[in-house]
Amino acid sequence: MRFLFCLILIVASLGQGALAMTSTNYIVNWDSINSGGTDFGSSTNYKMHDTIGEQAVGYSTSTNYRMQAGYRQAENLVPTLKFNLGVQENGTQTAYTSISTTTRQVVLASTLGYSTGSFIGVVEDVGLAQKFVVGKISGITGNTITVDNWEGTVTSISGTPVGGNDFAYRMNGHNLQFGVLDSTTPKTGIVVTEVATSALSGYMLKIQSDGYLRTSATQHIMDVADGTVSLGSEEYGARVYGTMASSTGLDFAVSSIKRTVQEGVGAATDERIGMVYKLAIINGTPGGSYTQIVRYLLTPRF
Amino acid sequence: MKGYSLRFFSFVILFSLAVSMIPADASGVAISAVTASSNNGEIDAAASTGYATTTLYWASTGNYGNGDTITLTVAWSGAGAPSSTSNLLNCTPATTTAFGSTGSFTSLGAGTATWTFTAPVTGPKTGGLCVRVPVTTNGTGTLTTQNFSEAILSSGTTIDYGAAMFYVNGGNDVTVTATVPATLSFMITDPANLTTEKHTCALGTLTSAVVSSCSYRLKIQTNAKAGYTAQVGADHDFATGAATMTNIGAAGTITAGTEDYGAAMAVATSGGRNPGTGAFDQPAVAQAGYTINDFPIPTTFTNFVAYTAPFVVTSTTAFTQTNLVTHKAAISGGTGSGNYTQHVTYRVTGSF
Repeated sequence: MRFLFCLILIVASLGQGALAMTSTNYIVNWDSINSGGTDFGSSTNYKMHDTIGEQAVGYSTSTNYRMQAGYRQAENLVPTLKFNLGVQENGTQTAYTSISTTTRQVVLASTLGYSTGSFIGVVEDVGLAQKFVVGKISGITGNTITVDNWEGTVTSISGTPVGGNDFAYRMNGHNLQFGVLDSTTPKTGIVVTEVATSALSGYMLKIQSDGYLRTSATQHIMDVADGTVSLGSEEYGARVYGTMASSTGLDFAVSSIKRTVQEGVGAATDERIGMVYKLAIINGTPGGSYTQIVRYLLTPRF
Repeated sequence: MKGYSLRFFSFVILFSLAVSMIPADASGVAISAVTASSNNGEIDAAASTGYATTTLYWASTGNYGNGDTITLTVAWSGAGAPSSTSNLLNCTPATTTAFGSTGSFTSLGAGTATWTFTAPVTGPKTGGLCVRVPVTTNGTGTLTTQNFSEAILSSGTTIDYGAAMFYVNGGNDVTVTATVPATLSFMITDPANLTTEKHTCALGTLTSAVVSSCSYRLKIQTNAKAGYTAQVGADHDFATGAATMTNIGAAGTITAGTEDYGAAMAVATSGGRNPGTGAFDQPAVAQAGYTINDFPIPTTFTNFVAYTAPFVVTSTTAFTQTNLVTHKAAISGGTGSGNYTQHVTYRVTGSF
């Protein structure tokens, strides 16, 4: 009889092992029966939460369920979500002499103004058919910048540019400045977006403008409608490049209708795309100062 | 009795085991991020206290029990973490219910807050939590451009989790700008050659048998967004100094044998920008007094022809994109002899 009573207590304890225990003065949100570990290990610079000796821990999924078994798995449930974007800063334009997509390095004429952690964009043959890559600077040695990864037209950019129209830009801004336009020189500007999330079903990044690129309520640059912004036409649009880019292969209108530009289907660690804005005008394009605000909206799928 | 006890306790044991195996449901939820500025998580203004009010809404996937918690975590993106290490704050007025049940924030720390229910929630049910997040400003009080996420994680038998982004002062915005310089050009050309200037219009020797005429084109181009207006004015009537030729009346017709002087205009039938399509397929517009040929040449400047958007002449042979002006004169037997002259001036103004 005593044996049965003890067995009941043990089973009851096991049954509650994964749930919170409460009393008048305390709440134990997490508990576990195992052989050791602590939540309070620390030193001057570090602290450690550790657990050892758990049974049947791990991660498994089915069509409708996901199971994360184990004490520390609860910490992993805390969702994470981060989003950054950077726009080409024209004032940091710097010539470069070589770039490697394998060593992830680019050699600039000067690295003044560039710093670790910043986005960098490298553009070959600036113009409507330009090739470009974007990355985040992980190190600078002399005039050589190393990035964590390149995204963009990685396979087509030349290792050694001809020069004269090939530049690198720091990309920490939010203002894409086409500058003063004329009918003979189309303008471009690049944007990098970066998403990190623990959402196992990924995310969607959409863009939506506040209206046309416009100088008044009635006068605006015409949106590209034929898939290509071309010299000799008044057209404005954008195109996306990168492993996670959506709807690639054409220049599209940047309009008030939401459009997906980047999409992931699983947890993401600093996933990026490069986006080129393109603008060409003609002689009759209305004069004035044009403005448009493009918002990027990130939706995770937890 | 002994067998009964064994069966009873066996049942209890099996029941306990069954209860212990009921899984906690962990479900990702879609979260809406709402601020005073938008339903997209955009924060365009902060209270003078340096806090932005944020609300997360989601649909619970099950029940939240009495004592269950929702942990809210704020994480800043990039290197732009706010300098403020202030705690999150409850909203004003303070949130005292969530998902229709009572509760309170039992802790409000730097970047984290814990909401604890004091009454159960029967779900699924849509609800939300509101907290104020410290945001930083620059020296002039403008919000620092940053992004942060707020994540939720509930405890209890229903474990809901998710996150949403908040964008501070355009942290998710790209502002695109461009400048198109103003242009305006005007040329009086030969009626058959748009690249050749013409500043004389000779009617020749007049006879009562025919209507004499001469022509030129007004070639006007501008990218002024409100278009252009051309005015016409003459220094005096068509005269010799001693004699003045009779001006045709408005909307008249100059006919041979009757002394009359005036002009006619064929306005450009295309070249004007269609603001909707961007095509330069719109006609110029003759102004009042010049819509019906023939008309007199005024001696004071009056509006002559105009368009309300940019206007182009796309090629050297695009005659239909120019305005053709034809001066006409007819005399009678009593018309005074002599050399008749008139100096006609055009003024073109762009409306940028």
